[in-house]
Amino acid sequence: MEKKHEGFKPKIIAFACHWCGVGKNEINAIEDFPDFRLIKLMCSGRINTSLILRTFEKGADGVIVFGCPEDKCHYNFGNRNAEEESQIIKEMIKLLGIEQERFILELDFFSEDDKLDSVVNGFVEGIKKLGPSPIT
Amino acid sequence: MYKLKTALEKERIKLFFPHFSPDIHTITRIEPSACRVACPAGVQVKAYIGLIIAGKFEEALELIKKDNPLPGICGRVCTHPCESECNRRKVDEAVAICALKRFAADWELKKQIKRNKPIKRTRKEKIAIIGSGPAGLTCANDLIRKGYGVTIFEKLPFPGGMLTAGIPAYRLPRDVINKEIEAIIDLGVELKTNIEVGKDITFGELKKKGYKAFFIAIGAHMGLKLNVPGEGEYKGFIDCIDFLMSVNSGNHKKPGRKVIIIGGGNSAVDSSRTALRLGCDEVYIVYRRSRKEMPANVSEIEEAEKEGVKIRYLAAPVRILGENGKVTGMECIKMRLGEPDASGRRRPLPLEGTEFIIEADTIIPAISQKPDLSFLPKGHKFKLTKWDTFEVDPVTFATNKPGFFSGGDAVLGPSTVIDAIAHGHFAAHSIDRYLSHKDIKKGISKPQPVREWGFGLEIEDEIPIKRTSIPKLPIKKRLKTFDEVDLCFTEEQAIAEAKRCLRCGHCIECQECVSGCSRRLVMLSFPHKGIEEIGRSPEFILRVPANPNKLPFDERTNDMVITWKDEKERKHTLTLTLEPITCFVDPNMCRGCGKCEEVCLYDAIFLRSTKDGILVSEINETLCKGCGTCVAVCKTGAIKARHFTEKRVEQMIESCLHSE
Ligand SMILES: Cc1cc2nc3c(=O)[nH]c(=O)nc-3n(C[C@H](O)[C@H](O)[C@H](O)COP(=O)(O)OP(=O)(O)OC[C@H]3O[C@@H](n4cnc5c(N)ncnc54)[C@H](O)[C@@H]3O)c2cc1C
Ligand code: FES
Repeated sequence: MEKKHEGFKPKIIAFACHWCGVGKNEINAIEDFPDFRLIKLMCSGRINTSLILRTFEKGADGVIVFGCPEDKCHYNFGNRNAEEESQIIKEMIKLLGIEQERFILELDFFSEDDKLDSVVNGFVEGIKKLGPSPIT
Repeated sequence: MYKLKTALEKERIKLFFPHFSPDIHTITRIEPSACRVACPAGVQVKAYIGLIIAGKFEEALELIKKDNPLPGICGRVCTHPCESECNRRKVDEAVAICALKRFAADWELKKQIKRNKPIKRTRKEKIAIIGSGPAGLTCANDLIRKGYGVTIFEKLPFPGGMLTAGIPAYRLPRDVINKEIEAIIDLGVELKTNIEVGKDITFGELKKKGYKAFFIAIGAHMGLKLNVPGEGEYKGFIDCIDFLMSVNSGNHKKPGRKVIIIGGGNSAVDSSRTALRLGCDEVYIVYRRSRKEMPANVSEIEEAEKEGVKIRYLAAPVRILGENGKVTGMECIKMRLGEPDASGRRRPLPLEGTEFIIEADTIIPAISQKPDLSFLPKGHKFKLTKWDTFEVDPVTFATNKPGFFSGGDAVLGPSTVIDAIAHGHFAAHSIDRYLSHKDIKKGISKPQPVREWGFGLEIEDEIPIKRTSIPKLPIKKRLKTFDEVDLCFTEEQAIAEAKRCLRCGHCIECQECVSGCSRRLVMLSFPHKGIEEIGRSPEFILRVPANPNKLPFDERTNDMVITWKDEKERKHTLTLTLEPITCFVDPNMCRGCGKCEEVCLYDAIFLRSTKDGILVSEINETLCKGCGTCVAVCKTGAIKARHFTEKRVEQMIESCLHSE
């Protein structure tokens, strides 16, 4: 199975909230994670099903959303909204035949220093294994 | 910032996808740093230290000069209250701020940078400044820069006040004073020496000549009486100011063989070291408290002792002894320290029966001075304090007579150069407002008291670094000359010392970002309405699009053009208009409910009433961070965000997925 996807470069879109560690510091993931494309939003709560589905439709192989930890959301409840929304999104993409692992919501990654690396690496590895998105 | 430090350490801070994140980066000072608040003139210490580290010595000096027109002088003789407040003291020793200032000033002197050009006169009013000490010079400097005509009247044949007449040349070389005074005179200030206002020319005559405001900066030159028997009766009893003035005017005859100086301030220590240099065999200082209470600069006392001055602490004069009309000695009494008095220093009390005699042929009292008020006409209406100083308003420095202002030693009694400079600034500000018929009380804020400084410093983590000691002339070389004792840091020493600064309060406020940005994308703002000049600092806001160099950015249209090729090698372009991350109000929709003002976390929104008296909310775009909270609360939909619109996000996704 792995052989099948050799040389595959996944296109991964990362949405980052403007205030969280990633958005605010504009962490350069290009060097560490060359498959990343970062798009900032004002808050992780701005994501919704249609936005994520559009992203997959336009050809993304994976989508990761960064937001602020639990009680650190700039608007109090934005990240909670995002969490609720992400449940729905996961259900939706499953229905459409896209693997659930292609989408994750990541809050609170900075509390442990290396967590960002491991989460992102794990995600990218996962996508690489899955291969190109089934709908492109 | 959330774990920013860790991120910085890993050097991950780089702009990820440069063409998609135009942004506002805000640098907000936590507080003005402690050193700056401690400085009466509010000199931007942290900033010039930062510039020295960067090797930008000229810029550092420019910045100092904004608040202190006499940097070379202060760099040598200032009492540096800034160093006493330095947070580095919690780690090891204070940063050698004063010596760094001198380094910057000397660097310019060495380079012989161009002379100042006269300032264009834009105001018809003329101002008379009485006294050319640091207070008068500073006031003249500020007022001439505001476009007024300024004349300084000076009683002595030379300008500089106590700087030239009092402070000896081994501490403050004359060419340094001359250069700095010259720089102020070059701006177009008229200097009239050998004119004593009140005697050679009266205030009435000055008014007739068209002077509209007066700044009385006459200093405090009259020695106080010791009030002991024998005082002034014998030859060889000279007041310290007379003594220093005569030496500083070129009379290098030694006053006697054995000299006693009474007092513990700078003038006492200076007199003693001057006497040694004139060739006196033995020099004593008699001071009634202990060394800890001595007001002179600590380093001065140390150097005096090294040079051979003998200091008798806890002793006070009882009687001046004399024979044949000449001083032969002084009877003293031992003292002990009692309870602290009003000034907080412990009160000295005599110990009965401990009298002793010191033989001497010269006695120089240097206990304190007060202003010489003999120039005031009889029946003048000035309000004075019981110490014969001018009573002024503590923020405006206005006397009780309209149009007359006063400052420096004339208000404080014998004090310091930096206080005189600060008074000069404040008075100039008031005079400007007075002549513009504005309320002179408005717009001046006194420096805030020093608070408990946090600054997020991690004092425990700091590694102690030894303070760079100031190089000095060897003692042998000093004693026969008036050559300068303290020498200047070398460039390497200065940079190394500057690096000890902890930079409390994050932003160093050097303002280099503003002048350095060719695209004018960086700006400063004054978010708290009402704060005006006088050296008090603004808030800093940098508005920088992410990495402007890398942007495929068209300056004229604010557009970015991104091109990519698809699999079939077809070229595609996508034009993005850069919206700033801010919100905006449609004034026609706003009904002035004020909800947005309430919720804004950045004080960026305020209500303004229009010509028709309707309230409309307005956004200060410099402060707005575009968080959109106001957009959410706006009932009429008058506020909208410029950025992250549906369309824009979609464009971004598109371009992300296709650009390579
Ligand atoms: C020996 C000595 C050492 C010192 N060392 C230090 C030090 O190390 N650090 C420090 O910070 N401070 C020091 N000081 C104090 C400092 O010099 C003074 O605080 C400061 O110079 C005061 O400035 P000023 O402008 O108020 O007055 P001054 O400098 O005294 O200037 C007043 C001027 O007004 C002139 N004047 C007076 N009356 C008239 C008149 N009627 N018409 C025209 N002109 C008039 C005087 O001639 C004089 O030139 C020292 C003082 C002395 C005496
Ligand atoms: S502000 Fe970061 S998740 Fe809401």
